[in-house]
Amino acid sequence: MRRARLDAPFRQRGVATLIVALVLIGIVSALSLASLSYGMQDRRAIADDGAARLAQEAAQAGLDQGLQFFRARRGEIVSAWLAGTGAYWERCSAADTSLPCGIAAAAVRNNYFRHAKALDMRAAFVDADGASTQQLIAKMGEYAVDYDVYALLCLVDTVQPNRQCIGADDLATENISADGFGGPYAITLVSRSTLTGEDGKPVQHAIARETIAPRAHESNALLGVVPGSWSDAGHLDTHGNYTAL
Amino acid sequence: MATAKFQLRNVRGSSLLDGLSAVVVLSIGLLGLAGLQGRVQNMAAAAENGTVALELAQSRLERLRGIASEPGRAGAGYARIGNSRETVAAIGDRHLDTPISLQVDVARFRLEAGAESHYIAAAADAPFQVDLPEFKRVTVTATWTGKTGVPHTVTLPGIISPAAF
Repeated sequence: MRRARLDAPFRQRGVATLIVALVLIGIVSALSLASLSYGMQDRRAIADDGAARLAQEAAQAGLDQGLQFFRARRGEIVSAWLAGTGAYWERCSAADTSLPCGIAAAAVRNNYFRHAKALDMRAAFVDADGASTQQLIAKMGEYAVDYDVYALLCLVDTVQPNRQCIGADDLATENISADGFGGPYAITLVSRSTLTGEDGKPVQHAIARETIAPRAHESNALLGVVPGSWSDAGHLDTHGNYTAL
Repeated sequence: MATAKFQLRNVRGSSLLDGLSAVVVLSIGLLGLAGLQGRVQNMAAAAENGTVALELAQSRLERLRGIASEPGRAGAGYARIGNSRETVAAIGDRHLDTPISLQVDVARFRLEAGAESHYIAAAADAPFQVDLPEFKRVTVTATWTGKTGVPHTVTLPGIISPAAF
């Protein structure tokens, strides 16, 4: 009976100490985990910001390479590529919201020509070993880089500027002479980049666009970037439809 | 009675030992968490340095693009773009934790005229021809050493074209 009374306070004091210690451990652990979680989130945000910057640079690289591609093919853009059996350009349909037609306003979309697919630039570029390459840049930071470049041609309508480009009603490609379209033209390039992590999963996308045009009304003039035409605004949904932001 | 006093002393001793054990366990746990915090802080510092290095590399690439598109078609600005190396210890008034080395490597390509015209490597000092398409493939590499002595690198490649207007 005496032992039982003495044992009771022994258990109570021990339990109290244990509970206090557990509560302290709990509080300190919770604080530490919260701090750890904040630190990890901060680090992830920094990594995401870095990936977004690199994706934008990759999209820019696509635009730069696209410009060089058209500079290399400047003699064919509005002649062989526009008319004849080897024509690359085809008119956009008004309902086509995919790249590149989707970047043009619906009301005038049909006045633009699109390159049927993303540009195949392999014939114009070689890598460091002299082999044909589609991309001059394949890696950025720790990420693998892919970029597709799309092109939209506008034969500038100088008579009806509100139509932006000459429509099919006013100019059939069959009627273009062998020397090619003689008027001013511009090409809007759209580049979409994808950054891929080491695990093979896409990490970041970016879209950039700019317009290039011959510097003068010369048949073989060098193309340059139209000042003020650069934009990174745009979004591509899972169906491939482009929306300007 | 004597037995009872002895047992009471034991009880108090046991409680002290419990407390001490709890303090030891708590201390080990705290040390572990402190170590983890230290590692997270190091990782955050490395990530921040990486951001600064990337910003510097981007800024350098943009500056080179600006130089290449200087007004006029003579390509004087474009021609100046070549290999370079420098160390950045501060950005404006802000002193960097660790100096960042910026290296610019340039490879020049020029169109080879022909039926299947494509770009080929060109000598860095070959004369610039206004109407012959060419570009420079630029790689900006930012390197710095972390607090733990581990070297880090960020590589930012780009394509720079001479202005046409």
